[in-house]
Amino acid sequence: MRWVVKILALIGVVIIVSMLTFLMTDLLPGDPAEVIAGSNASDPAFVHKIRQELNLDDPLPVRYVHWAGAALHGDFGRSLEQNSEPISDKLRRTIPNTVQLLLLAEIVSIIVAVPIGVYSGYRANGKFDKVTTGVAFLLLATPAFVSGVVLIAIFSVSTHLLKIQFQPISEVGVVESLKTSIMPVACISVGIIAVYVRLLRTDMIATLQEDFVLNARAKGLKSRYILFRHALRPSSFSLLTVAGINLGTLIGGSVIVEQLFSINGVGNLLVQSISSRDIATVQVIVLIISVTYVAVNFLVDLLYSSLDPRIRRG
Amino acid sequence: MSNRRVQSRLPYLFALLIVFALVAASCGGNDDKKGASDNTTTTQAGDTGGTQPPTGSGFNEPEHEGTPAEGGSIVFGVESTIASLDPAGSLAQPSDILTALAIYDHLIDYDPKGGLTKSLATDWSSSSDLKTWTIKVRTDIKFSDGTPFNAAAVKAQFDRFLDPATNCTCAPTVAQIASVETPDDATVVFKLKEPNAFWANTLAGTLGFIASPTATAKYGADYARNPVGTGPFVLQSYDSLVLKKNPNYWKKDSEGRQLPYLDQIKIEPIPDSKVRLQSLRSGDIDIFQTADTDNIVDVVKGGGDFKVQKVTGTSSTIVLLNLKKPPFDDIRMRQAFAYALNRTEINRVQYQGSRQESYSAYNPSSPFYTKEGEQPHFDLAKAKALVADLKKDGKPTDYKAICIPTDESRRVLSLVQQQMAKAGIKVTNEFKDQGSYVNQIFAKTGNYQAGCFRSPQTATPDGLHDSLITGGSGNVMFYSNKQVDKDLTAIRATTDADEQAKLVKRVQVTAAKDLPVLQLLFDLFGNIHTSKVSGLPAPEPWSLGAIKVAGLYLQK
Amino acid sequence: MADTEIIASSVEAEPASPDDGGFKKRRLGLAFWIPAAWVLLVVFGAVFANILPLKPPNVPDKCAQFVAPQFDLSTGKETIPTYPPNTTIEGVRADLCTADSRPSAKPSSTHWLGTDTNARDTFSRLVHGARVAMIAGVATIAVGLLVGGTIGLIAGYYRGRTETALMAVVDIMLAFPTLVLALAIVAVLGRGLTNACIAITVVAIPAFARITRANTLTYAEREFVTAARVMGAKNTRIMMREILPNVIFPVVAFALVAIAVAIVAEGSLAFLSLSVKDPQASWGQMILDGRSDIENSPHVALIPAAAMFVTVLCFNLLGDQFRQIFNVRDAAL
Repeated sequence: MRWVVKILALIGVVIIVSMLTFLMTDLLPGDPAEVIAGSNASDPAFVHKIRQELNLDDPLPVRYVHWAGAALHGDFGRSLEQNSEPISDKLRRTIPNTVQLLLLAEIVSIIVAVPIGVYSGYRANGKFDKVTTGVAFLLLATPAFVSGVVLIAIFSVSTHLLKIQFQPISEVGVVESLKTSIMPVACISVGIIAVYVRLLRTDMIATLQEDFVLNARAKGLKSRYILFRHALRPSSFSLLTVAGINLGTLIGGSVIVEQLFSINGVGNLLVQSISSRDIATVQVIVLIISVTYVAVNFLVDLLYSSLDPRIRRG
Repeated sequence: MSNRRVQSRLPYLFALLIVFALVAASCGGNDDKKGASDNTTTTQAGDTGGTQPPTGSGFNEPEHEGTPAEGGSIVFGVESTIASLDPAGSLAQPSDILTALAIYDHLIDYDPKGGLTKSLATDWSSSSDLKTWTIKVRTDIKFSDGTPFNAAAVKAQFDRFLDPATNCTCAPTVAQIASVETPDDATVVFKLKEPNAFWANTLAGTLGFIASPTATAKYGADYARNPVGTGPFVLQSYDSLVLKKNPNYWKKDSEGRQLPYLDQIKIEPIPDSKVRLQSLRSGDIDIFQTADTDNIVDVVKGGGDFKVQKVTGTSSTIVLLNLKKPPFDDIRMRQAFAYALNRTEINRVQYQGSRQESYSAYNPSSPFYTKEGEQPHFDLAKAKALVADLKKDGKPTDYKAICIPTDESRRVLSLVQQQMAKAGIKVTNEFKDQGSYVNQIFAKTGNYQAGCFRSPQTATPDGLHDSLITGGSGNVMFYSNKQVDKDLTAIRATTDADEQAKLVKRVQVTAAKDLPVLQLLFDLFGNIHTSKVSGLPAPEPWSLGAIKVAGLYLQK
Repeated sequence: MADTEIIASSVEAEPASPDDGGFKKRRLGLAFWIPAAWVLLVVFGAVFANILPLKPPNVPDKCAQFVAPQFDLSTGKETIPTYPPNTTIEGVRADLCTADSRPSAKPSSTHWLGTDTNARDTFSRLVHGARVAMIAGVATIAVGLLVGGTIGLIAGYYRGRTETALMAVVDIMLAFPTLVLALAIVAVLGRGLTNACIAITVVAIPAFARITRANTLTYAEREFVTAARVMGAKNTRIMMREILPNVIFPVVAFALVAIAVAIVAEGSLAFLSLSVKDPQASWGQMILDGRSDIENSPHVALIPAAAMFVTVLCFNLLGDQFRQIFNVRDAAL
């Protein structure tokens, strides 16, 4: 039954989020009808015709319902510019690039963080731990665009080492695309790896003090076995929770990184649309990002409660 | 100042201006009209001098090295994503123009010297009153979707431009057209409302890119992303920007070989000019276009096996002033601005002195240039005096400048801000994305004080028409001067080259006194490529450095 | 700022140990004093930027146009102009100008940290940028703490419907990823430092509400609170005198880290050209400026990047030390 309640709550949050998005972006200054009219903006009849076509004179709630209804069908409307393009086309071009970056960043972060974090926790306060703690701390302080600028400075000198211009899989195939993804992914991952390492370490230390571990050791089980079979599972729960909330950091990082490396992704599209007052596109992007964020956190919540017997309630 | 991105929305006015007003070198634009009687066929007169690039060799020159290999594919780096490939759209970004030049043919072409030569049109002439233009077109060519090219296709194109539902950026230009008729399959007759000696030049610009009527009808509002023309290449898809060779292209090279040489060109938008250069160096692209002086300087300095085709001379970065609103409604403020502006400092600090300072719309090497038409040179004392005067009268001396957000414009505007501060003028700089920027300036609501822009290319005497005439499509400064209006109309109504020159010089002198627009530096564009690529033609006079790609090849 | 919570919690130096109530004093070691010194330096620069004997931050060096290398495209030659002795051009002794005044110059005695792409003094701009960073970092978080903290305190203490209502609003706000929400707010309000600060504050308030409430919950159940209530103390008095002094420590530890995040947020917005207006200096804007010339003059971007990095690091360290000193243990969020 808790399921039902949770899903209802999720839907409620999504609806409210979409309303807020619509309301907020509706406050953007500028008249969309004039923007679309472009060169004919001085012709009031023409502008009026556009307002009618787009129902721009309807009251806010009515417009919201139209917009939301259409969005549910996947119809996101057209962008607010002279050569207006269906927003779904723009999304089709940009979403794969962002998803590629974020997915790679997450995967890389986990692959790098798990062994380091686990070992740090296992040999807490040892030399390895002290070093990684220090480094992780440093990395935490490195925002994406600082690491981006540093990387570009280092690698722009020898351009043959790393390709700076990102190219998507659809154009150059997987291998080339991965090569060009190295720099942006590295920038995004830097901070996240640090967070994961710290978290895993803390969790690992706590878990290793638990009774069941002591029990396993008493039974004579090997350390590595204990580490990965018994201790890792509870630690991974924290990682899971954090992964959900981390999506926010990932998205934020991607906005900056896409700008830095001129990558044609959702973050870049968002910033451009804001600059060009393309309200329609901004609305759709903020909606999609927020809904994804809420949904992912919800899923994580669900996963968490169903996996961890300590949390699961009858 | 790099305004290439602004161009993408150069609506009506400048795009048109560039188009019409342009004949790079020769022809006071007259070769195509005949003198006295009615409709006899015209021929191309020779090159009568015209605009030459500034002193020094190596500008605006075609490149032809080695022998063309058959086939091959290259990647062409451009500075922005393609906004629209519809001739009814703005088509003012170099990236858009380049792709359009690959997909479409013009009705009338420019020859290497800047004269007009035949293309889809085989012949053109006008009545003696310059109001009726008869264009003869070929009928043996097909669009890449199979539709036959003929007079009806041309009429369909202009009918579409004239249709208000199309929302064409060219609306003010085609407003001159009274009617378009097709007496037969191979003849198009344009009847204009006013005499226009330069109508053929219009057909040699973006309006002359003839689109397939079947495609425009089929795609409607989405035609901008699904263009179909008669040109050397066919666009595979807007998403991938891959251009494939048109197997049925009708043009051949001077030896009779079928054009184009290349099988494929991929257009690669790379907004950051430094990354574009790096991509060339790392082999990711074969050639790229740029308006970034640093790129050109870096390559010329050396390092690597690369070549630069330098393009310059006929357009400049300018500052538009709004004469309808304070503070620039007062001539003293405009003069103060002109005197406080130190082009030399900007050139030295930002461009390593490699650019040419601009004091008038026409380059000193142009036959239409006159020293009396030059704007005031830097004089800080005079600027201060004028500002003090204005302050005494209680008039405002502060203004807000807007421009597009590129690194270059940021730095230059910062510098100008400091120069103005020395004279006592306080400037706030604001940066707006191209789309909304152009909308703000051209929305005819006069909602700006000063804005950066790129001037039209001025090689014909008609170059200043749309920007200076009262109510002109390019006249966003709200400038109005009766004498200038008279002169500009008279230029269009005569075929006498000397008369045209005299009139346009007088216009410049008047404009230099009224200062609706301030010139900064002449533009510099570059096409930079590996040494394997060759076959670059001389750039079109109006194309912001973009070149026709039919003749590009990889050397054997 | 849900991500702040993650950073905050991972900054913890030691795992939770059995509580020993109240706080335990620790000796303030180097790990505290060094970052504190840097932060004090930054604050000092921020406050006194206008009085300090710095070169003007927004004015290009007068010598710049006379020493910038000149390149002739036709000949392909680069020349550095030289002037005969006692030449005065536009009121400047051109012969006395050195290459240190050119745009993107390296650090020298004329310009301690070199110049930016418009030949403005980097050191001066860095100090003025510190002012922006402190406003964007400290002022916004202070307001966020005040407003958010109050909301959280009330919600955590009164529970029931007040709490549900308040936290529902807070949770909705937290449903938007940080930067996206800040971007949307700046998009609506327009560009500028004030608007960027408003955006950051709006994003900070729900985060502080959340963490204050969580900590309030822990203490609200304690015996001394019950005792105070029994003795007839008013609710406000209890909140102020019993709960607040205990809650303040974890919240301040969180705030120190949040300041670091806020500085980065303003930097990001400035990098996207959505924060300070020209010609005002902000570290993010300086990095954007230096980015354009990074191949030839990396120091123009790297110096402000380093400043930002070190400042953020120091705030993180301070937050970490704070927790250790007062043995703060995060209540479940």
